[in-house]
Amino acid sequence: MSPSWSREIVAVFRKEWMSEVRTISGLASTALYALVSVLILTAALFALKPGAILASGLLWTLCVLAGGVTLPRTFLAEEELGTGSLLRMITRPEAAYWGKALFNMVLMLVLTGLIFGLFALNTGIKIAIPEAFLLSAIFGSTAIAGTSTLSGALAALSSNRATVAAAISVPLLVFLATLGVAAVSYSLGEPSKTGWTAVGGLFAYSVLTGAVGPFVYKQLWRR
Amino acid sequence: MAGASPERLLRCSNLGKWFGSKVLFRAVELELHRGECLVVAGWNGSGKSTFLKCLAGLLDPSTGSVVIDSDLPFPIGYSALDLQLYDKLSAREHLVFAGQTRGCEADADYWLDYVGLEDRDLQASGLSSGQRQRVRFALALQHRPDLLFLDEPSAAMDEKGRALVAKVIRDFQSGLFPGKTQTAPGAVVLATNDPQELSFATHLLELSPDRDSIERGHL
Repeated sequence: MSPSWSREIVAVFRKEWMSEVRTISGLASTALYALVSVLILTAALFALKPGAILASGLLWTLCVLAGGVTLPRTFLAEEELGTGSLLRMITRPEAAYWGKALFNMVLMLVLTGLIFGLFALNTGIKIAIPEAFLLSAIFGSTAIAGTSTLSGALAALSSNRATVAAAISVPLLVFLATLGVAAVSYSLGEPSKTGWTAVGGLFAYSVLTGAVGPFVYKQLWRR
Repeated sequence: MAGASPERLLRCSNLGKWFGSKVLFRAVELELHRGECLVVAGWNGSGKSTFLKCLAGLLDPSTGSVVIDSDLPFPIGYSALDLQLYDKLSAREHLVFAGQTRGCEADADYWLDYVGLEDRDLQASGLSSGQRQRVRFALALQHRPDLLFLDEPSAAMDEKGRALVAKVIRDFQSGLFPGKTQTAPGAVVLATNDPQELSFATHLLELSPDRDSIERGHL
């Protein structure tokens, strides 16, 4: 039986899932962060209904912080725990990258759903264009996951991983957040001629990071 | 080990590795063919493990190149004490994971039987160092590679474990594992300080930080 890309990617995804679920502290702290930060923000906004731009800015701040802090760990943990060599011996770099990116995307979709849902419920914001809101959440999640996976992969083999990961991801995420705020505020009723373009930008960002990541990571596969 | 051969599996030329001003080895030239066993010897810190990592593609050499002549998608099996396992996965889950990525997961229990590991559903964090070493052997053999790299395989092993090392090398060199279809003989690269393991060698490479490495051809 010869290896196939889909089997390899799913195998890496399953390995990530089993490791994270059994570690539990990583997933639990991420979920707790999302829950607590939304509750604190909505409590602070008590009786104050935020406008479209403020609401989208707050939403994206929560999502970027949740994703940017936790997602790069998928690669960083391999090197910190010394399992990177084992991974290199049993998978191809593209499959390792995509398996981890897939795991990050699923995790980020759940986190974004939690953050967007709780925020909308607690603040009672009016969603003017539901399809734009939904697509912004989905493409925003995949774009954050793609960016964080890429920065984690690039930083994993450097000697000062956490610093390098932050240095790479911050400029990428700031630009992404600008697009995200434009897309979400449009979905919340902020008049804009470029609302759908911003939603498309989030989609393009997801595709771009997903396509470039494996090729860049392959170059770093050997030390 | 000079001379071209259709059965050649590995060739390295002008291989060298250094970290800063510390030269571990330099100008290593060798070829390895099916059925051969290269023993890499040297004092602690002489660069045996680094040499194996360069051959296995885990480290880029400072100079030279390594060419592996194999059609297999995963031509190398590699086992070393510093090859960490996933703490939260059991031995069987390691084999299933590696099998899925390399297209041979149905064989997980065969290889765990072969290396004599009984606690196969215990998470790796609960395994002893000798048991972990057996899992590494199973992972290195499971996909029937052409080349097997063993770095200090007897370290952390008891007497049964040492016998297992001998069995692994013998079976791999012959390409014949009990109950399995025979494949072409493989080649072994063994890094060791254990004088008893020198007996496996068809070739010996001594690494020395003070001079060029000495390669002694067929023993």
